[in-house]
Amino acid sequence: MEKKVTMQMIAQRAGVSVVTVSNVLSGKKGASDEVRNLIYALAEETGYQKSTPKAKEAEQTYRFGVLIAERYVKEYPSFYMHIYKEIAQESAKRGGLTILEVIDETCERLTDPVYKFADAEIDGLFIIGEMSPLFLDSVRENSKVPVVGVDFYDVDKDMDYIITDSFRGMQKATERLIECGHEDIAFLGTPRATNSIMDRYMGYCKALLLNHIDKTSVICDRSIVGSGVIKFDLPAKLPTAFVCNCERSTGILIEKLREKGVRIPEDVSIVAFDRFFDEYPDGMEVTTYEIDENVLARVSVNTLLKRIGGKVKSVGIRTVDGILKEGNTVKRRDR
Amino acid sequence: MARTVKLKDIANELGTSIVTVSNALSGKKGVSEAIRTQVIEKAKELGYDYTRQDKSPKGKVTIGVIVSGQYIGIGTSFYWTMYQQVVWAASTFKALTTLEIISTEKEKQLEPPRLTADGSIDGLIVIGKLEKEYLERILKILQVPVVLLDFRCEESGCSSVMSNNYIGMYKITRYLLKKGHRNIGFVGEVETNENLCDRYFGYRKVMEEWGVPVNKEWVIADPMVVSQRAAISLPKALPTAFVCCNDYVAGFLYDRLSQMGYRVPEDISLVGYDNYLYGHSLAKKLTTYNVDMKEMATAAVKMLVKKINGKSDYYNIVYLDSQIVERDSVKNIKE
Repeated sequence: MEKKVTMQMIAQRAGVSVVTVSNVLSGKKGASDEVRNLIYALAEETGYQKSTPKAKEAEQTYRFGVLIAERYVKEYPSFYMHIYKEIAQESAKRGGLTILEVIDETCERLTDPVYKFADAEIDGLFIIGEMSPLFLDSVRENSKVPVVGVDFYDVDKDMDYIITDSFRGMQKATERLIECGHEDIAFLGTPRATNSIMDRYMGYCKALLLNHIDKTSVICDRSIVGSGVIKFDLPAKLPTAFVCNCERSTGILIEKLREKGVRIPEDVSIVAFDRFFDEYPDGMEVTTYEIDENVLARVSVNTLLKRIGGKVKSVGIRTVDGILKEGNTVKRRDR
Repeated sequence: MARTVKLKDIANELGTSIVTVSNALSGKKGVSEAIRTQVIEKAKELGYDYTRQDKSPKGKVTIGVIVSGQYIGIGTSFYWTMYQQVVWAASTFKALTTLEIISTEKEKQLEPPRLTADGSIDGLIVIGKLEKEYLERILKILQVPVVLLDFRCEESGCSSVMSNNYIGMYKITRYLLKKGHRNIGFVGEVETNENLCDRYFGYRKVMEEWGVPVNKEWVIADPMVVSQRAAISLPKALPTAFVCCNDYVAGFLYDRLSQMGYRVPEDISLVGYDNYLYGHSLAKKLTTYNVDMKEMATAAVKMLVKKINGKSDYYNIVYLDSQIVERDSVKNIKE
């Protein structure tokens, strides 16, 4: 039988390395046109036939596990379920399937949680939304596949996180109010409840500091630990404007203000963070810092695919920018 | 249609090998002059397309780089090293770089850089903050893509690559708290430089999160101190640790503390930001947050090359995260 032509044979005759031959024949960069021509000519002469194991890669279907805490799924409309939808769509585009598992509170609090993916065959795992540190630790330790956190982060864990830019987003939203002449601005949200609320609070503080406004005030909308149930009272003396940490608080704030007969934006202006999927009353459109969930999903899927390919090490926290969408809840005030 | 003449055709005609033909045409050694002449003549006769050989690689680009002179300083500086990384990254993309250092006067008088004059660059990287007006002036003249490195200017619509100042400083400050420190000061500009302002809020975030009050006396935010044009005046009662906005300031503070007879870390702990401090004895000792200049430069060049090739007109700001470099400037005071 005729001996099979190998890349090495071509390399020897051309006087170049096997890597160069391989690069040229697979159409990669890194060889001069001169060498390229020579190698093509030799390959043709010797009747070199490319073996094609590479083709398999393109057809491969990945299976991604997705974990979401029950408390995010229970609320309606659910922001994280929307993120999940985007991730599922993006994964499908890239030839991946997603399998969702909802983690209930008991499971999240166990020191040795049982979740189904440990045994199932998945290539990578997304965790959408903040979860208890214990649970996160356990998942990371037991998981044999790369894990990407979406819309939350924990600086102690060496894994990828894709997050919304809470800090700068809230800075921008607050600056919008300041531009319109507001100085008495209250922050609605409990900074210490979650990392992202703290970041939003810091963004609010930064905007005030850079504009030399000393007065900061916080209205807590939930307890520091707990299930995230929103409950707050309006202050006796209302500020001229509110910045709201999330879309659910915004909805409740609007209700409470209307009950008291306060007009928006004539009496009180509002800016918020995160898109609200439900509708506000009477054609009200809240000026909101929104992220493009599609971009968030794309970056997340990209990152996980890269990690699965083993091409890159974990990059840590990656922030995704959003935009401030103008609504009709901010009124210009004369200073 | 005549088929294109290949190396193989010439070799067949002359009864030599393809390698010889290739070598002869490309002027390499190992071919006698007689044969070389023969090959060249044959190539002409058959109408071999020479241009296929000596065509310069497609997509050869020249990247202009500008840095404000105030950052370059004397000897090795942070931005000089950053420039070096850009040069290296550009070379991996087979791109040339050309540098122009912008004097403070030029920047003030809005005199455009010479680089912009004759259309000789395909893209521009700006390292370090330029005055907004000056940047706008450049963008008006320049018709090529621009990427900003280590600063951002949203109004300009230019994409940026930055260190994740806010999260980086959050990480390093948290490290101090985990080592038992509660009385923590901050040295660095707050209001005049956005990167440093974000670092300040990273520090503030940890303090809020752990419920530790910030003692205003320990926040030294004089821009003159940061640029080392004024001495640091320290409060009478010192904290147990200082967070410094960058390693230079940490070095400056270290000198001042040493003068006063304090030892690091025995009497007082220090952390910095950048992992860049040359020619100072503290460099080998300082625990700091790493700014991955290589990664940043590569990301900026990659982004720019994509834009030059028309593959991306997407506006985005990339914040790169890195890790703490643990050395010996923090004392563990945890009981």
